[in-house]
Amino acid sequence: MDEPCKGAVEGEIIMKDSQFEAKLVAAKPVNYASNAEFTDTVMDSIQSSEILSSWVRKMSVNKKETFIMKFKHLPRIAIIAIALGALVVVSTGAYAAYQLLWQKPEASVSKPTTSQSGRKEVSLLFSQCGTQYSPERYELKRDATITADQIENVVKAQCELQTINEWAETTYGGKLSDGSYSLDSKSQAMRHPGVSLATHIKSISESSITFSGQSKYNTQDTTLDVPKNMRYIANGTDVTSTQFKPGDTVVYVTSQGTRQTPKEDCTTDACREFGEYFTTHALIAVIKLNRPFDDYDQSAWQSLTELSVCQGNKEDLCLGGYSGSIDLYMNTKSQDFKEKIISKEIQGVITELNGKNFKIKSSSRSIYTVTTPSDIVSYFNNNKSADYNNQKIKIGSTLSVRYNEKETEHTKTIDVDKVFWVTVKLEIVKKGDPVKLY
Amino acid sequence: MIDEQKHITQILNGDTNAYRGLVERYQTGLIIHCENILKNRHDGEDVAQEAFIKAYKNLNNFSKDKAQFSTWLYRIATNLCIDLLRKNKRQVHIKDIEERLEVVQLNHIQEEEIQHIRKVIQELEPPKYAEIIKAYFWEGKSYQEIAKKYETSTNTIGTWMSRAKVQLKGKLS
Repeated sequence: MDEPCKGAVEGEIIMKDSQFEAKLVAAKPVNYASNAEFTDTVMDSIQSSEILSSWVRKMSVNKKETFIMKFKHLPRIAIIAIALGALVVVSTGAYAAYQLLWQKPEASVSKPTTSQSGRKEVSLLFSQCGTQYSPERYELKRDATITADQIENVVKAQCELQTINEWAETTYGGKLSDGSYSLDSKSQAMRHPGVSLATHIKSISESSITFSGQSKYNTQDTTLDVPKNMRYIANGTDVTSTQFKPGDTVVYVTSQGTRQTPKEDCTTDACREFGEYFTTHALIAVIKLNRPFDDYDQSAWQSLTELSVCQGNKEDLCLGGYSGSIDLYMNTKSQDFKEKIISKEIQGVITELNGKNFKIKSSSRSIYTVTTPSDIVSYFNNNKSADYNNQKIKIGSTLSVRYNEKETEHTKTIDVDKVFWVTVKLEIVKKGDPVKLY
Repeated sequence: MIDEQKHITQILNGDTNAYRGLVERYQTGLIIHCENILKNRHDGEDVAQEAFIKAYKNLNNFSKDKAQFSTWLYRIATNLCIDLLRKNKRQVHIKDIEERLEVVQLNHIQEEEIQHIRKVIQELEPPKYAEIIKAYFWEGKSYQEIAKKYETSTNTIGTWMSRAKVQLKGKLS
């Protein structure tokens, strides 16, 4: 659930407010208790295996991850129970409102071409997916479950799902979350909207609908009661149930509720042991999808890598979306704000490796020369590779470099003082796949 | 103020638990910083956690001569916020974010000013305004958690917070 905007507006007011808030934080007395739960979570994480580094966490489907974090105050078993039972939940980010019911989403993609990394890629010429920002290009992963010819259909299907998700959040997010949190001093409840993955109607009656588990994350049939005011939606408009039949490809929107009651002997807010826990799903709407089911499949979508404009380098594209990375180096040098230095990012395939120096070729075919304090590539290959499926970084691997530079400066030589963070990009099609470099 | 370098030395000598002190010291400010960029508390907490973990894993490279831990930590978190905004297809206003990063890092606030702020917070009326300021800015509670305590909605807490801040700004100016 998004929390209310704290009155921030653009420009100077934001800055003054931020500084004011920073002063309030700085005034915290040393002996004041901080959030022990947050501290415990961080400490638990750093004490776990190094292999569970950022890329593993990023491998989780982001929306599921967001959902889990909402319940991080629960005991682990309860979190697992929620995760297993959960549908893909609408992202908590509130984007531009999607007007009325349905405007047909549009996405026009170019014919596939071959990228400099040897993958098939398409450019997104125009999209109307309800978001403020869209990737510039999609690249087909090497282990993709789809062919280049299918990219357009998959992108269009994802565009439609995104629109529906945003519509559900806009339409039901506030209504369900408002005032739904606290029940009494002990038990607590939450309610929020969720949109399923694409599925099929297996059977439908006036009182219930059974959805067949057709996707990787939803392998069991689900039967839900049909409430009186449930909406049937097709082509962006409300329709009647007569237009729905077994075999239709649909997604459904539910109101998801959870309630936890702590054990009787639990007397503090910090109690983690809950005696009672349950979750419910109540149908709000069933939405017919227009494309074949395979276009909406998660593994099809995850076969694509999003590329969007690199931060601070408008001429180049950087990998985003469902991708991961392994940290190779991080600089700890302080930033000098007086010079108006900003953080920039560049990504590219390695064209030359020479100890502390390496060269990468970006998407615009520019060559960047990067220098690090030590030979980070050899270090990874000799000491860390075994932890990552014996993958070796070599010419052709994709590196991401974050560096600090004046906003107006655009050098292709990133020296050791400028480099902030270097990672090697991974190619992940589905969670559980062996680690493979991009 | 905690002895930052002492904690870091202890951690580098194998005392992982010493990191707890740094997490406790900086978590509230960092969460609020991320929350302000991402406009979402849960995402802000997630990113702040990720930043603490990344900082810990790279602590062996840390040099007190070159950097202050908090400055470095905020830079990591800010980059992660930008990554998340991009991943979620949200607009990224780099300049605003960089400026925000600059102003939130108060390295030279005087003890006298700190004492004054604490005193003014105590004087807020009604007293619940002081309580919510302390809960949010000192204890690291979210609006949702504060709302639960007062058995009211997060929107009401937002309103109280705005009024409390107006009152505070008036008294501090």
